[in-house]
Amino acid sequence: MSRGIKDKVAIIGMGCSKFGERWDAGPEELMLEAFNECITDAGIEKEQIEAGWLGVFFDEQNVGKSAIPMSQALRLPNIPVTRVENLCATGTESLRAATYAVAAGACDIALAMGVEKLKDTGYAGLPERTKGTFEDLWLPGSTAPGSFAQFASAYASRNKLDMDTLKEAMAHVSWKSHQNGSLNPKAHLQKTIEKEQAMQAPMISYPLGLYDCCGVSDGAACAIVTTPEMAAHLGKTGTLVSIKALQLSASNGVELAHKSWDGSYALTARIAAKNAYAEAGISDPAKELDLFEVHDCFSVTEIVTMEDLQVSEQGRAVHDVLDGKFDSDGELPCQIDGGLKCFGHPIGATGLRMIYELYLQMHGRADKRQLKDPQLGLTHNLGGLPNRNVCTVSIVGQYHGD
Amino acid sequence: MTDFGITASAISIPRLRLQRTAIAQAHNWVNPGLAARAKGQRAFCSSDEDPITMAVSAGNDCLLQNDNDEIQSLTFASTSAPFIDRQHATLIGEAVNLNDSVTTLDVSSSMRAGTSALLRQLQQDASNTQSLLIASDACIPKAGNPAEMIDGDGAAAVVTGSNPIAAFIAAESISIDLVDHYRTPQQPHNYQYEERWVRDEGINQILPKVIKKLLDKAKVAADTIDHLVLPLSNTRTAGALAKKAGLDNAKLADNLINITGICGCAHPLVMLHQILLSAKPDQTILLIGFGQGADAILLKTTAKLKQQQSKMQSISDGTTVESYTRYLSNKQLLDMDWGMRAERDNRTAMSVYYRKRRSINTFIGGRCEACETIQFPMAKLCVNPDCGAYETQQEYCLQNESAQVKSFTEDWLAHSTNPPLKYGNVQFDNGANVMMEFTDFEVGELAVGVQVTPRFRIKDIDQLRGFRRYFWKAAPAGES
Repeated sequence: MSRGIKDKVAIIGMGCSKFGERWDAGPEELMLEAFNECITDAGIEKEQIEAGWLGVFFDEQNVGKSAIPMSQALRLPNIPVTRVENLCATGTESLRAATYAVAAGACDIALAMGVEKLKDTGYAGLPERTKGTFEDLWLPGSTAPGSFAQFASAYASRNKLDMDTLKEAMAHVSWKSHQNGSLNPKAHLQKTIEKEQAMQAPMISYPLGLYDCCGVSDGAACAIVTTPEMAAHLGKTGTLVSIKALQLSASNGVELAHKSWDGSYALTARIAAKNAYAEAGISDPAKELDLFEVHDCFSVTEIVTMEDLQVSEQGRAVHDVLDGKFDSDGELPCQIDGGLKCFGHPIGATGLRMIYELYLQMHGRADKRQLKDPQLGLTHNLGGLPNRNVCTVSIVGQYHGD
Repeated sequence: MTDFGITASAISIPRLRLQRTAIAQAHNWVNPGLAARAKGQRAFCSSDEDPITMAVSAGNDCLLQNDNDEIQSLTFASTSAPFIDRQHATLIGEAVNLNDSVTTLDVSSSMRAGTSALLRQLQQDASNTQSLLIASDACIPKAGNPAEMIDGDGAAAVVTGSNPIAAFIAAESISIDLVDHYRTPQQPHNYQYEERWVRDEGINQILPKVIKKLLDKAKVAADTIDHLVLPLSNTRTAGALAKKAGLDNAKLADNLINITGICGCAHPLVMLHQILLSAKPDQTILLIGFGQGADAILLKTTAKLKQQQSKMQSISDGTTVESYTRYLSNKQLLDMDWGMRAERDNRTAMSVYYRKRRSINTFIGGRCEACETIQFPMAKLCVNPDCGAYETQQEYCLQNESAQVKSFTEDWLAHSTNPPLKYGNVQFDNGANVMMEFTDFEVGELAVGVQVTPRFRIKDIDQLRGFRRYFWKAAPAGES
């Protein structure tokens, strides 16, 4: 494996809009809202940004193609900007592009933006989209909850779990995230719920009920990245958050067509996690990592993911969840900001919104949610279907020099 | 007796069966008298079934029985097929995986389209020709029309050729333009004339005439007929007619009115199939078709029938449906609001469909010659992570392979005209894995490990352009 990018790039500013049903704002306003916070935080001038990336998933009913809408909304000084899209990992993909540009030395300061305006669709849930001219001819007309619900039946079958136990663990996941989200003023959903409510909610895609599904929200988040040397040059003293690993893995058709995959886990997540740990120099993730922001698009995804990230043993995630291991006061807090469950999933923004929480936690700026002295955190995005997806695993933490 | 005739027979009846009481109850405010007719059930297509899909199921089952490997011609008979100008027989031929050198033909326009096509095949085919005939109908009577209580949806298929299970003796036909009902391309529903007139002037005049003509020609005494297949909805009319024609000793075949309803031009063959399931060798069957005249075909079962009966499927029990609105919606007589998700554009990229039609129509995957992995779709590079060989795949047809549910969901959010949309990963016994929609499962019937079998069904309907496309879905195994 290559030497990777560990500690080659630091995050010097971040911003995140209020997430929610932002009937008051379009993608342009959401981007500006996140950007204003970000550039103030970074303490630089707009003119110092040398390149930008914009992550947007649904271009058809959002800002359209290219990153020109960002350049225009932020009135950027004609710098190179590019749109990126990689399913639910789109936000992280934007950060990856900016980080790589800085790590490569192609530019000193770069902007990673992610935005999604979902609530102009006219209906609940994610918008309908084509899967491709050939795929539309044969793949089921699946939705996101229906696709991820596949995890539940396959996971229960593999581990010989009855669905009631799995439902209980799923309810715990959602209950825990609502507890956390209630402390976050930027979250879409800021109410706590009872586990019973989650268990008895109307069915969306069996066995996922309403509370097993994340919200559908509008939002934007962004980061300004540079080298640690440039950060020092800009006068950034004290806590500096650097990127330890940014790994991505994409399906190649095996999970869709080969019997070697049993449907109960994300093959790509296991690969991305392994590579991220290697890049970050982590040998025991459960011991070395302090907090997790994982892709809880659906409660069951979070359960499966904890095994894929090697922080729960195979078949044990359900029990770890029920034992409170991932609660805010547990051994490994997960979704301390409320997660996708409470922020919803404006797709282009999500990955950056997760990094934003780690960034606040590292700086001790997470207010009521603040964990004690976190050093290393992980974010995870899983986009597509369990059998055809892209997964990113990012690790960020305190910068302690080379 | 000739060594030529019907060599295989199969049917396909939709799993959904509407209770006739549901129809009567729905129309009680307008026609309380319907209650008297509200007996039994009638089969109706699910929202992903139509005459094509039923035809493919029946055709496929028929070919599985047939040990004659080369089918030279395929005829499709229907009065309710979805296209006016696009040959259905060609599509069906691809779906049942016939060679592209097969001659294909659609026949239509009469309730005797099925029997007329069979008659012609039996009379005109050379004795060494193997021909597949499939009749399939799913008519749409106007809501409240008495035909709603009578019609059913269904298909039947027969192969004709040498070494038959029912040998061809003789056939006769009469063509008379008696318009008991009609439908033009502009009209979705039949315009129907009085039943009593049709009975007195049509059935009771024309049928005895054609039967006499046939028996005279074949020099067969009426009282030696063992089975009379008379596709009439009224059993009293049928009984009286049999008597009038001197067929008192013949067993009047069950018209299946309480199980399937009268399945349009497929019905004579559906009834014939049910007779063949239990007929003994050396029995004489008189098969009748009625519509703008009549067809009469005389068959005699052979010793071979007995061996084949174990391979022939009877009508499954089906799923009882009490909801009249579900029936109406499936017949597109009730314009349900399916929400904004139903606005998705289902335009078909026709050039893609054409390139990939072996995958889509025939459910052909690939089998890697290097590692033997069976996979769908077929690709240049093998999907096996331990293989990955280039250009090693041979065609492998998945449509008759057994499989089981690996994971599933019942999705109430996804657009479906038969909610919830059910789909998941399917594990074939041969090793292939395919993400498929499930069909014919009611809510709560799916589970990991349930045995499934592929069925050709409607995949999407393009409401904007009137096109519909088909693909294979996983249905409960062991049902025809």
